[in-house]
Amino acid sequence: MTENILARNNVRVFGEGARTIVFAHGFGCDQNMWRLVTGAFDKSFRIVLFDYVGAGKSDRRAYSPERYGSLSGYAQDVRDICAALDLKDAIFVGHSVSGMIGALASIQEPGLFSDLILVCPSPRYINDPPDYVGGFERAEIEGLLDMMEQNYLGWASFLAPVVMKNADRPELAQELEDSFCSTDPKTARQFAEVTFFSDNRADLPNIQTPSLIIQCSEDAIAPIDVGEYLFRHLAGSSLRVIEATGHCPHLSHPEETIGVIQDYLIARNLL
Amino acid sequence: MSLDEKDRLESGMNDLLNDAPCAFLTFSSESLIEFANATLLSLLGYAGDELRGRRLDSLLSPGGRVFYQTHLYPLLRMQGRLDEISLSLLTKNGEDIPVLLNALRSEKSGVVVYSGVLVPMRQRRRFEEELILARRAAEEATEGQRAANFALEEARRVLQAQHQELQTLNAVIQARSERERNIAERLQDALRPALHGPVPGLDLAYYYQPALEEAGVGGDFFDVFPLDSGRYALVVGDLAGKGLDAAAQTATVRHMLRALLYIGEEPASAIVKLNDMLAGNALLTGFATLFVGVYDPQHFAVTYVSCGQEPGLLLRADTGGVESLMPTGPVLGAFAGSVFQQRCVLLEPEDVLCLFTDGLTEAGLERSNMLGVEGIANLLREPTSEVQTASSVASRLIAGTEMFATAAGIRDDVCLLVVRVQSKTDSD
Repeated sequence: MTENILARNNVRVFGEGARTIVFAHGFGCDQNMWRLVTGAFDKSFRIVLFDYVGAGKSDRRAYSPERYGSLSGYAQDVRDICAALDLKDAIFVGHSVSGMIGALASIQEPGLFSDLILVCPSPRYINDPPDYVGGFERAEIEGLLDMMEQNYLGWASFLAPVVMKNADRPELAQELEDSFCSTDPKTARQFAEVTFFSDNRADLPNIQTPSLIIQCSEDAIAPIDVGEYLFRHLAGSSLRVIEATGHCPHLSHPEETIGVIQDYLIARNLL
Repeated sequence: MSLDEKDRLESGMNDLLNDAPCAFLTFSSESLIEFANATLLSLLGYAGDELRGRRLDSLLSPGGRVFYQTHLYPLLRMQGRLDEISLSLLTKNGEDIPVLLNALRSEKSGVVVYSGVLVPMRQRRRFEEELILARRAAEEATEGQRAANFALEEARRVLQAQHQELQTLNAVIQARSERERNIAERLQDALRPALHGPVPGLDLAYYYQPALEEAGVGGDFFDVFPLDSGRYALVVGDLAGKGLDAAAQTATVRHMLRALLYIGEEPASAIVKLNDMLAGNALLTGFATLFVGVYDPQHFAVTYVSCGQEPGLLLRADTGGVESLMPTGPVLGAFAGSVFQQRCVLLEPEDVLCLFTDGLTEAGLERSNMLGVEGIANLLREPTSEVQTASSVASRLIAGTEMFATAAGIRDDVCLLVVRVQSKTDSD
């Protein structure tokens, strides 16, 4: 079972330290997103990287539309991995939608994480007037889904059947997996829907784990209002607005991102 | 190449780049636009330096912005290039322009530069959108087919399960009816007389067929048994009703009659007593008809009582005529106090006495056209070349009856007892 889960989620464990940091990627890509960041921590911490089922080099046969029809399915992935590695009191670093996924796992299993570090998180992406600004209108998310579909056009009509039907020719799937950010279009679409149509605001009062919110100064996906909303509704949270712009500071501004994470760990006496 | 020439060339290249038949731009690793060519500016309705310092993704539709942040930027950052990405640009006036983007990350003397080429593709986008719609329709059709197949498969499974259930049920029913048939047959065996040894001077044959196939028993019966006085009882009876109930009452009548004859009662007094006991104690649900004859081998005499039974038919060997042994009293078990008389008939060698129930006489297609006693008498009278035995007479009567009954067949229980007096040579 343990081995199955480690293979299913393409789990990688490295680095040395008494405590463990679990880095969880967001919607779109895979664990490679953390490539520029983990090097700053692997001397003091054990590092766990993984791909959600359906992403990266996970076992795509494990994907089921039922299980991954809500963020709980992804939170179950996180809990499965922690159980397989016998993790307790770990530090969870989640990018984008993974912030909420980790938070859900922390509610379901208190003691799993000592700290949640949320990089560009959002409890709800779609505006809910008059009081809540999420950053998007529903139609704009539909636009995203259309755009994804257009870009998967060639992929879906040609390669998807290859992957689906040529289990005996793994090199075809391999070629596909080597392309960073590639995902089965149906899986990607469902993950996009689950992510961008989610609303986890009601879960916020149940999050007891201390947390750091890393908010980019200009983020088209999680605008500053969202970071501030989270800060107001998360007990025991800190908010750091960084100079980095965009939604992927760990890629665009790795040093600054590393810096705020280290600051937080020092303040929490974890480093 | 002189410096001037180089400058001139570069300036010429810049002009070419500015007016190239595609939009071109460079941007920083923070996605901030550093240079946009004139084609791009005019495509989007901007002028001069308006785009410098803007975020690249701010030129995209909102969906495109998310796609850029979640897919394109990470790809470009990690893999260094983007190929054939379909996007929508927003003009200054907010109009959508579908474009295809190629982008490249390059590094020259420590400086990282990102460059991109954007080609409008309005026609192609329309075509692609149609393709997507067609594919979606195809997928839905496939999905529909799959669902239909699934439903079909499901229905087949249900049907199979029901069929199996039915088979199980059938097996249970079959086992049960098998058991009932066994019970009935055991009962029938108990009711059917065993012809223990020959009756001196007589040749006997019988035919018995219950009407209810499934029960295998009926209300008709016959009995042949020796009495202490060296005489023999010959009985043919018919209980109203069919099946197990009739069979059970048949046993009652048959054994009570045996008891009375065993203790030495003459046929008439035995029947009077039997009738009173049956009627007085309501032992029958209906009534019975019965012929009981006591045969004395010494005198070839049969003393008989017929309680509403079909007349016995006696074929005389010497004349070829048929005599009827008519009822000597009413039906049995209906009214206490009924009077029954007994008569005696003397038999001659080769005479044939036929005792039967109404299953035989009532054979026929309809009530108005039945074989009747006369029909049987005619069958008896028919000349035959074959050697007469009780068994051959019985066979002839049954065959004749069945031929008469044709399609309708014989509907009721049938019981036939044929008694033939042996010829003088037979007994030698």
